[in-house]
Amino acid sequence: MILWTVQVRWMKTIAIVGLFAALAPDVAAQDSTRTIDFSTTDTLPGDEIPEPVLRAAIAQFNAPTTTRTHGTLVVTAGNTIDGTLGIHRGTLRVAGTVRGNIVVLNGDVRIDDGGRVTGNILVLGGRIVLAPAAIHQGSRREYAGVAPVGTQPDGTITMRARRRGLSEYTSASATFVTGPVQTTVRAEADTYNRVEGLPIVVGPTLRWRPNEVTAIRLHIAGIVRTAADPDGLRKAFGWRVGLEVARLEPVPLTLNIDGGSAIVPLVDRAFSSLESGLTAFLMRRDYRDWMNSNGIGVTIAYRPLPAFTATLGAHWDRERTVRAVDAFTVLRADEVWRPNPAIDDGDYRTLGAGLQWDTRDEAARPLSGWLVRGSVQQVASDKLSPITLPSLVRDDMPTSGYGSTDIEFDVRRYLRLDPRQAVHVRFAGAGWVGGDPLTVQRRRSMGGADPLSGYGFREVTCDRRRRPDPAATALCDRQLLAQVELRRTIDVGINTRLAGFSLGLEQADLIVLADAGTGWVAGSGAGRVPSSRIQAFDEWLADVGVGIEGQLFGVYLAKSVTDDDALQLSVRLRRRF
Amino acid sequence: MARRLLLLFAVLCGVPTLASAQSLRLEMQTHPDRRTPLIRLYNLFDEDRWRDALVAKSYPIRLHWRLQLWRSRAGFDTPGPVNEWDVVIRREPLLEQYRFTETVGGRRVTDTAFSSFEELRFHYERQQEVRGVAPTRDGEWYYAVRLDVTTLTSADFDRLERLPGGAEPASGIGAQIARLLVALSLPSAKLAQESPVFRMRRRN
Repeated sequence: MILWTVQVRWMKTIAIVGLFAALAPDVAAQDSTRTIDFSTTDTLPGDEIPEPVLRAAIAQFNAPTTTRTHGTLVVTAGNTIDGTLGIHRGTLRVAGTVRGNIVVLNGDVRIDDGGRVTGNILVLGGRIVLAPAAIHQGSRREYAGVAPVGTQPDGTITMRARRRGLSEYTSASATFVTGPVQTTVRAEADTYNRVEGLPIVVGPTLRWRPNEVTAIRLHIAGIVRTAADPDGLRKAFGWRVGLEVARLEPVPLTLNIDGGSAIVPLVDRAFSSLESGLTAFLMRRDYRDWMNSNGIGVTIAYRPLPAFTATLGAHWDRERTVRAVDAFTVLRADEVWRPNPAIDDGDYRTLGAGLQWDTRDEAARPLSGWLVRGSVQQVASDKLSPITLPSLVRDDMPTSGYGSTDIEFDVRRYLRLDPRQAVHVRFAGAGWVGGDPLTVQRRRSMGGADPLSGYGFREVTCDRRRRPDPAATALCDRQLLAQVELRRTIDVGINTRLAGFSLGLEQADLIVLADAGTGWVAGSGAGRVPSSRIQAFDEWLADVGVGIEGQLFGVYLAKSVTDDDALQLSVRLRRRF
Repeated sequence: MARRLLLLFAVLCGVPTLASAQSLRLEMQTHPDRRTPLIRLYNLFDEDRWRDALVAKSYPIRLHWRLQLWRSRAGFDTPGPVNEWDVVIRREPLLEQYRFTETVGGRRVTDTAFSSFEELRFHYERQQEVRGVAPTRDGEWYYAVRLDVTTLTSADFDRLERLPGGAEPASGIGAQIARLLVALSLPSAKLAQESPVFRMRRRN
């Protein structure tokens, strides 16, 4: 995403970037080595607690005859405890005598010199330490992994769901387990936009595994919109519901049924959701367009190989125009939002099929592999109210018996040239292939900084009116795009310290990039490209540029080569492709 | 002036990874006979924040290693098998020791205790040889390694909340925000390095 795009005439920046490549690491001396050997299978006991062990420990702790303690307990020298001793979230230190078993959940056991334990010791989420002169006459088992347990009002403990990862901290949630069903109630923020403000999605997700090969997930959520709509074109609340049934055997199939009333983006969506939401919230630049969709659909996904997925789906939606409202932004609060374009309101049925082949080594920062995906959609409607578009863009639309077909494809190849250099290549396209003209909500554009780094937002919209739509509506039937990047990893090694923090960059990717893309209206007539052809190459937009990517964002400087546009600087929070 | 501009640019690029320990450095060579990778991580314990996290705060330091063999060809290089392993270094104040645990696929392969920080440091700053990953066919090859260094995970938060006599772990939005703030203040780093290209010849 562009966090900002400005015209830059300061060419020295390129020279500065180039200087980074001159820095190289030094070489250090060798001495004795330690080894890790992948050719052997020798392992030590694992940290993870097997569920039967956890259940047995909980049962032992909760047994009526167990002496239970929450917190640290010290059995001092000369004292004796008889019977099973249970410790939760604390350390048991034995300097005296324990005549019985010990079970500790999320704590340690230490038997001091002179301390004596006659029973078995089971420690989950901790360690057992015996001093040299300690006496232990039973068995010992320990698991370092944290035991997922919580306390109940009566002092017993119960199993609880494991905590979520740190990446999920932008949301708030609570998870509990009832019998075989795990329920998570979550509140999270969706993409900030100029139609809703901040959509806050709140609701439960229920997960159930009836057997080893089947997983069921039910998600129900309400959507609260922080920005009011004075026109009343959309409600203050929306909702979503989804049911997913995944089965591994005999064939790996996933069935997904989803529905709801939500504000969704039109198909021409540059930038990631995060990038679009951040620029909208911070800088009053919403790079997506939106519509209200009420509908229900079903999708079946077949994944016979880890790299291959095939999908089939059908959706029935009522799609309606919504307007931009006065949503809050941090900067430029006195500016007017870019209007949200009017769409062809109607009730639509969409049938779709897709294939994906993904052999990349990782999705976020791939070094090698292929990503090939394609899809075809057939859209039909017996009830639509098309808006009027100039005849240069679209022929008359029917209000019933409507049907059109469009496709989408994206081919990416990630190749490594040597240990420090790589080439990334992408060829993608989308658009109308048959039937009635496309609705506004399925039309495309071409521009920057995603995907063309050397151009401004929606440079090509296929709107040839003398006074184009101020919403900069994407009106092209088709688009094609080719991108190539030559990447070189460089050692930067520049650091400084500020208020106790280290700041700087150790390594970065230096990128030389080139893009070419176009969008056009297909069909016969003035200003259109015949349906059997693609746009002539002299009509394509092309740019070249350089960029540097750190761990979390990249900075790109690009210049159009087919136009006289000024140099463009863009910042993105994820790789271009 | 040029140096200052370079520094400013690097600082700006690094702002999102504010907690990145920039003095960390990876070096990789290959064993002259076995052609196995020899990896060395420099300065893990020279950076104040890493040392403070381990020694003063008793946070574990986690290192996730991802090693891939690549075949160097005239055109594009082709990827080979990937091997991953994890290292957890933690201080156990109760036991007055430092523990070094190495796992492969969730299974522990090394679990060593050290009675002092210097012993741990001596152990970990040595070069590491990764065996069982060398190519067996003729050709030109090299290794690429990626390293993620972090401190606390969500499971570690659980462990930290396991305080003697303490109440249940806090929940709710306030607790989550507090955890987020703690997480954002923690150091983390990502490093990558490649070995020199080497040639394998079958010995008859």
